[in-house]
Amino acid sequence: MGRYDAARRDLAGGGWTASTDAGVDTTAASPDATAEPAIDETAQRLLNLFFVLNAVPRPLTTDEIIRDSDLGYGSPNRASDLRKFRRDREKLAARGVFVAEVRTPGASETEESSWTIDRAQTFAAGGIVRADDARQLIGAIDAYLRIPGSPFGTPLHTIRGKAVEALVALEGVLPEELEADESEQPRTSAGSARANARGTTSSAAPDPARAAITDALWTAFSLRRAIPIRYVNAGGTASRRAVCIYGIFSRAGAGYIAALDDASGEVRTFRIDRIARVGALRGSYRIPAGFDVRNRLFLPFDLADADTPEVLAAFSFPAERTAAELAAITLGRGELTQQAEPAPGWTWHIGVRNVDAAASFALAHARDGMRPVAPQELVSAWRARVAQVVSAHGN
Amino acid sequence: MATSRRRTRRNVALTGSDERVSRAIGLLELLSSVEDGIVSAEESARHLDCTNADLDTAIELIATLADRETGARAVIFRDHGDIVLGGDGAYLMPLRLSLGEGAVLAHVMNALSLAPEVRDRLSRALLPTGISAAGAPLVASATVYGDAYPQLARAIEQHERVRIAYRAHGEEQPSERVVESLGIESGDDTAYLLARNVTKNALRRYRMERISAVVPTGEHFEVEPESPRDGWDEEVAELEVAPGADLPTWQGIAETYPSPTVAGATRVRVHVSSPAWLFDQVLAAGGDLRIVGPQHLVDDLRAYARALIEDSARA
Repeated sequence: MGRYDAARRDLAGGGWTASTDAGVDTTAASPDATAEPAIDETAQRLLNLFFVLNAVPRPLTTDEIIRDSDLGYGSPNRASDLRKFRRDREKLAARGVFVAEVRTPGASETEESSWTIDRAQTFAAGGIVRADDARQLIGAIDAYLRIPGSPFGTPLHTIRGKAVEALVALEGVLPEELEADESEQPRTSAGSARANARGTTSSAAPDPARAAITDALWTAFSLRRAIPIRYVNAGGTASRRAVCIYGIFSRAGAGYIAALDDASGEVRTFRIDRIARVGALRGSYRIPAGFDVRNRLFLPFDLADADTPEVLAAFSFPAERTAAELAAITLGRGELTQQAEPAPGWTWHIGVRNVDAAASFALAHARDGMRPVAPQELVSAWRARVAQVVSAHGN
Repeated sequence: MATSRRRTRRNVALTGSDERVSRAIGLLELLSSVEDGIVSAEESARHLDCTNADLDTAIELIATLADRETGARAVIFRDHGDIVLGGDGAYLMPLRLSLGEGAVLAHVMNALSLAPEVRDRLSRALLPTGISAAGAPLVASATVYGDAYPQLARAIEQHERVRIAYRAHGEEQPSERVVESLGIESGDDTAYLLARNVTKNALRRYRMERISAVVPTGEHFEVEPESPRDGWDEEVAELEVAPGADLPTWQGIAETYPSPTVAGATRVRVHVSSPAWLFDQVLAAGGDLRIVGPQHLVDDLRAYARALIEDSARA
C-alpha cells in the first residue's frame, strides 16, 4: 500500500470516521462519508509532489519520484512519467513552488538527478516583515484596489492575503478592521471593485470569463510564457496572435498589456477587455533589460491612424506647479523643462499624432494652467474649441 | 526532428486542477499562519475568494496528502464552522510572490511612496528572484498618489487630525488646512484625500499629488457614519450630451436620462465640487457637452472661457 492509496482509504473511511468520533462535523465536507469521493487526480498528484518534497529531509531521485505510484506516477512507460514529472514541475512553478534539481559536486552528467524544493525561491522569508509593514501594505493595496478598471485585482488579492497572513502570524489574531477586503464594498460609481480590478469597467457583477482571461494573462506574464490570444480591435476586426507580455498597466479605467506580438514582430499595446479568448501557454521568453512599461502609458493624442505623422508640440505650465502635479498630467512622457526666462515656468515637449485630441487634452487641464504653445495648428485648434463651447452656451 | 522539438514545447494549459492546487496551497498557507491552525470557513472562503464547495474540494485534496518515508500526513477537517489543520505534517511557510505578483507589489510600494525601509523589508520577504523594487517597472498605472500617502494613511487609521500643505487650483503657493482625513478615493487617473476641513467644517476632496506636507497635530476625532454625499460642499449641474457622443463616466453622476428637447441627446445630472473641473471637461468636449443649468454655471463657464482666450492671447 503506497502513500496515495493509504491516504485515500483513510479519507473514504477511517480518517473521516475518526474525526466524527472526536465530535467533528464532517457532513458539510462530505455528505456521504462512506462514498468514494471524486478526487481531481492531477491536482492531487501536484499537491502530493509538493508535500512529499517539502516533508522529506533529503532530495528525492528522479527514479524515486517517477516510480512511485502513490505520487501518481509509476506507469509502465518511464518516458511518459518523466514528461509528466517535468510538466508537474512547471505547473508547481506556476503556483509559486519551485522544484530544484540537485547535483552532488563532482557528480558526472550521467548520474541521476535529485530533486528538492528550492526553499529560498519558494518560501517567503519569515521574521523580516513587521506588523506595521503588513498594515501599511494592506492599506496601500486596499487603496489601489479601488482604482476602477485596474487589471491588478488578482495579484493584489494574493499579495493582500499574504500580508494578512503575516499580520496574523505576528499578532495572533486578525484585527477586525482588516478582515473585510475593502475593495468588495460597493462603490457609488465604480461598481464592484473586484470586477473592476480584474479588468472590467462595468458596474455589473464580476464576469467570470473576463476574470479568467485576466488571470490567464497574469499567469503567462508571471511564467514569462507566450500566450495565444484572439483580439478584437476597436474597429471590431478579430485576429489571432501569440504575445509575450512585457508589462501590464491601467489607464483611464481600463487594463492593458504591452506585449511582443508575433503578428507584427513589434511590442504593441492590447486592451485587456478586447481579448476575447486565450489559449494554452507556449514557449518561454525574456523581457528585454531596461524595458519600462511606463513608456507605454498612452495619452489621448497618441491615438490616430497609422499613417498620421507625429508633430512635436509644446505646452506651458505655471512655475508654481510641482513635479508631482506635472507627473500626474504628463505621465512622465516627453521632455519637461523648467525655465526662468523669459518668464518662470515649465515647458513640456511631446510628440503629438492627433492635434485635436491634444487641444482637448490641454483644455481638460486648463485649470492647472496648461496652455498650448506650438505648433500654431495646435494653438488654433485649442482656441477654436473654446470658441465653439462659448458659442454653444449662447456667447 | 521537428516532431521532437514540438514535443519538447508542451503546452501548459490553465485548468481547473491549477485552481484547485492554488486554492489548496492557499488554504494550507492560511491555516499555517495561525498558531492553532484553526480558521473559520467563512473567513477562509473570503480569503481564498472561493465558495464553500471549493473549500470542501481543497479539504478533500489536502486530507489525502501523506508521505510514507517520514510518516508525515495532513490532518485537516471541518469542526462546525471552522477548518482545522492538525499535526505538523502539512504546516506550510508562506510562499513568495510570483513574478507577476512581485511586479505589482514593487509598483504599489513605489506608487504609494512607502518608506524605503518598509519597501526593503517587504521586498526581501516577499519578492521573487528576478524582481527588484528599484528596477524598471513592468507594471504601471496613471493614478498618482504623490508622496503623502503613508502619513495620510496613518492619520486615517488613527483618526488623527493633521495639518496639510495644499495648493488648490488658482493658488500660486500651498496654504495650510487642518483636516480630519476620512479616506482615499482612487479614480481612473487621479486619487483624492476625502477629509473634513476643520476650519470650514465642510467635507472636501484634495488631490493627493497637490498635498506637499502632512504634520500630525496629536488631536484625535470621532468618525461619524454618514451617507456618501452628506456634508459635501457641492452642487448638482445638469449637462446635455450631444447625440452620438460618449457619455461621461465621472464619479458623482446622479442621474442619466434622455434629453427632453434634443432628439438622441442625453441629459446627465452630476454632483460638482469644483466648477473649474466641470468647465475643463465641457471645454475639452468641444461642443459635445453643454451645461444646461444652473444658469450661474453657464455664465461662469462663459467668463472662464473668455479668460482663457485672453490669457492665451497674452502668452
